[in-house]
Amino acid sequence: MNPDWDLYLDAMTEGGEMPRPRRRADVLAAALARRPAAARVPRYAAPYAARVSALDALLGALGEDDHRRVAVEGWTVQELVVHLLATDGLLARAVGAPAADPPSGTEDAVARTVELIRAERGRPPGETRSRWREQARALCAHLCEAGEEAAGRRVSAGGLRMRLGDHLTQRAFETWIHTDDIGRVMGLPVPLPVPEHLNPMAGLVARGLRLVAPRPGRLLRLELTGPGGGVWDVPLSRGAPPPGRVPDAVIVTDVAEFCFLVSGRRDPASFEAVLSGDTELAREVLAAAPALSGP
Amino acid sequence: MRAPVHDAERDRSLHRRLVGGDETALAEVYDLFSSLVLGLASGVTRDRAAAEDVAQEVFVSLWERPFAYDPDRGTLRTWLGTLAHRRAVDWVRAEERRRARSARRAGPEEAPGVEDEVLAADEAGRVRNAVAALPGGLREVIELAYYRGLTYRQVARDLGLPEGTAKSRIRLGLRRIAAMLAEEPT
Repeated sequence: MNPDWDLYLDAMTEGGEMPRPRRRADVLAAALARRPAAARVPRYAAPYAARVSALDALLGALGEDDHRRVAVEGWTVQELVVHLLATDGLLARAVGAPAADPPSGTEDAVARTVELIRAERGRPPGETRSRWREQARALCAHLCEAGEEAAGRRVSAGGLRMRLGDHLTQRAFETWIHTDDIGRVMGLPVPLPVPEHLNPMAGLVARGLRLVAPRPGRLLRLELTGPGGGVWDVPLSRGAPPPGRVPDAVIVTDVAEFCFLVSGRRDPASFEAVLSGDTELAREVLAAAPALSGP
Repeated sequence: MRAPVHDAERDRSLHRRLVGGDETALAEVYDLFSSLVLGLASGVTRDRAAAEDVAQEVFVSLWERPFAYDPDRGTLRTWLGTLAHRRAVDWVRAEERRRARSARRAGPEEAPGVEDEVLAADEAGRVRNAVAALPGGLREVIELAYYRGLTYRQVARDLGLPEGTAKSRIRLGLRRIAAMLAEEPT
């Protein structure tokens, strides 16, 4: 870097001009008028609200034609947004939040997406984006009213029956991965979610491993490193492991990379992880992990 | 100089929060860099109100389009500084055009255009003049840190100073330079 410029920046950082205190509130208000902050929601839905805000900001950086580019799995950017709208709509309906899309007979996320893609065809991408954003906002507003306690309620939506908190974590995960897909095709790197948001997503996929790699009586330790990581002892069948039980196999890997593996964005064969214990079992789990996520 | 305040990890974390729509991250960015952005904009525009508008536009722009900044490609400080500088130069040019138009209406005299390079050279000259005008002890540490690219630790070693003294002399030198740059150019 040019030393004069570097010195100039440092001098201004150290002793530039002190802005008048009331300007701070003006600047923040002007910023929020142009892009709202993530929706205020109960804690369990905060990762979802943040991912909605991130995707909306990314979509705002795209031109009209960019929405027609194929992002992933043969779906264009606009169709991916329809997919998120469809899946968020299924959850909204299940919890009694207002749904932006017309009612439908199907509970399947992909079938619902296909229906909605047909309905959205020919519409300007900006309208699809608004509809998706309105659906997300309506869901967040509903959760805000339901409060923190609703997290433990069991809800069936999109073919999954689990706690509402887990549904929201799953919606956050999917919204993040598709935001990353869109960023990738646009050449705009999408930063990882903050560690406090990444952690519950990693926990949810860790707990889900028994669904794709059931091994009765076996216990896997998943040690996910990096900000937002943690250690999860995952029984590969129903039920909690007896306390103090030594895991049969251990997988140590980066938390974000593991999330990308589970979402089918990494090849299990070349996936970087340190395996110990029953490495055969660990490799089977890694190979099965991508099956955990749909499109 | 790579001073410890330019923390790449901090920038990355702030950027994650900005992208996720966390308005408290914008408030932190503002508190860290408003003096830099306003100082730069004032230095270029020589107009307090215009500089405040430029500063506002810079922070709003980061919030509205957080993907325009990529922490892998540079620090937030450089990105904000560059954007503030560019917007301030745009303002000066628009102002020059406006003056030129009213000058044409008033008489034959044309205002000179402001070119980016001229302005940049002018600013670099003012920075160097400010360094030259520093008292010897401060000038020495600034020259080592910026024109010889030493870290403050190396500066301390070279001059046989305690690290804390080297660091505080660099900061004092930076503040003096900022004060000199804030004065009207002669």
